[in-house]
Amino acid sequence: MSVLEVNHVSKSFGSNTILQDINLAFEENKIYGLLGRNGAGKSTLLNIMTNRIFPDAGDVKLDSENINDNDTKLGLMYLMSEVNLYSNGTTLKQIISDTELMYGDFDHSFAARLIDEFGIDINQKFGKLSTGYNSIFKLILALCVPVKFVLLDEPVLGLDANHRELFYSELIQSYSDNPRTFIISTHLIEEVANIISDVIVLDQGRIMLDQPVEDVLAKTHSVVGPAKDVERYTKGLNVIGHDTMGTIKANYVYGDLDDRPLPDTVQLSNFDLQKLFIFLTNKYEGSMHSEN
Amino acid sequence: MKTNQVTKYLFKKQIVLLGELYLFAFAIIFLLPLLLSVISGTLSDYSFVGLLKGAHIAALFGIFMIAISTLSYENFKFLIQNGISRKTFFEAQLTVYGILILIGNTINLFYDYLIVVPLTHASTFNTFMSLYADFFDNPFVSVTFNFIFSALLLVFGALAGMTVGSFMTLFSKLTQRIILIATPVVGVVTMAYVANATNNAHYQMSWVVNFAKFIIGENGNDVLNPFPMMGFLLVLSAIMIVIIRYLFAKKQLKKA
Repeated sequence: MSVLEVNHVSKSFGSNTILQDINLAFEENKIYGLLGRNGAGKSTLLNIMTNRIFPDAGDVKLDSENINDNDTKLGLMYLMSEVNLYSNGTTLKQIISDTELMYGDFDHSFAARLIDEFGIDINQKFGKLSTGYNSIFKLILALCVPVKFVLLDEPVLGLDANHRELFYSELIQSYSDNPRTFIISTHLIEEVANIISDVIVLDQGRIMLDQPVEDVLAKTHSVVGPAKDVERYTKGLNVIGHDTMGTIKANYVYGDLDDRPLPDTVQLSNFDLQKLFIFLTNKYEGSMHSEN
Repeated sequence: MKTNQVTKYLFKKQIVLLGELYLFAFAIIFLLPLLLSVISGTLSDYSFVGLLKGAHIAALFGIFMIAISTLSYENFKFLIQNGISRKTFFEAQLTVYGILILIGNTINLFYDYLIVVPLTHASTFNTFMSLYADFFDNPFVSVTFNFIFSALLLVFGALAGMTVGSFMTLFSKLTQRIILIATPVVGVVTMAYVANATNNAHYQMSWVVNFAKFIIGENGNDVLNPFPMMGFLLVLSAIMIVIIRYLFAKKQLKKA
């Protein structure tokens, strides 16, 4: 089983520290959501993982082999990113042909279907594409190259709602037909919440969370009721956020609850990934723990 | 290693550019004067043979090689997007430039020996013939060494272009501009200083002159020896290959 490992990776640009001692392991055939606010270091991390830039410290390994200057390992990954690395004067058809030359075994039938569904003209030049179609074309390439790890950095940038939905549905279909690892970096959490199996939250260059979504959601507890009862019940727990409406208060807890008795006046339920992300990355004054 | 695929990709791209260069050169050297002659009504003055004699195909190819070898970042972007290592890019790029030089140099010498020489009866049509034509008695050996020497000069030019281009890609666009502006200024100041120093009795630059004489192959006779220069070009090329490999290994995506 292939594992893509990030070991003690740090990166700074000038005096600005972007990543600090990042350790991650991406397993085969999972869909990861790499979440973080703008400037959290997501793109930098993905660029380091694909050897586009170098870390200041640490390394990236695929199946225990360092990926640096390693064609065999780099050829098992494809990063679709906002940055355009294709020549503006080249036609899409030519880019597909050149991409196949490098990766081999391009899935032409799937590509033809996606080209048709998204209504993209592959005889046009790359530089002539609108922001949305630019993303769509790069997504088509990402879904059709024969790699084990597909890294998508802000994949739906510029896509309208219809195209976003079409992309997510094709992504799921593609994953089910040909299971491989997807790492989706985005801040549109609601849209990927139902797709991803594991969530990684990056904040200020550090990993705040790296767990299966199921486990993460099982640890989210929204405690709602009269403020006094809620405060009493959540005392000592990891409260990461709160809402108040009159005398009713909701405390958001992240972590395991102990077997303390639940007052009749208090209601307990889970909350979603987006809320958890907001609370974790807003640095709420409550006790905050790394949950790696 | 995907060296074959990358070599194929780069060669396909760069041979098209070379073809375009020759077409463009043909249009500028032969068709444009023809067109101007027709427009101005001086068609009788138009001499195709005269233009053939003056077409500096070899110089054009040399400039082309230096120019394309300085531009590596576009290819790097595409290749790193497609999981190709810097080492493979470096090896494939050297191979492609080698093939292009082989093609261009062959065209140059065919042009010189089959067109320029019969038309002009000139014996000094390129660097080798200007300096070392008399060193070899056998014309076949002379042509062979002309080919090798000219190829070495092109290799040297291409590698120098790669060194400068690879060095520049390490910097941001702003820094590149500063370097481009500062280098000629520093160069002129240095030249002025050296010129001044050589006029000063305290500085004896005779070793520089002696070294230059040795490299150019002057050995007291009227006939210059091409081998010291060929050796010098080979050594410089080998040094530049090592530097370029190091600079290629440092290439990374610039911030958008």
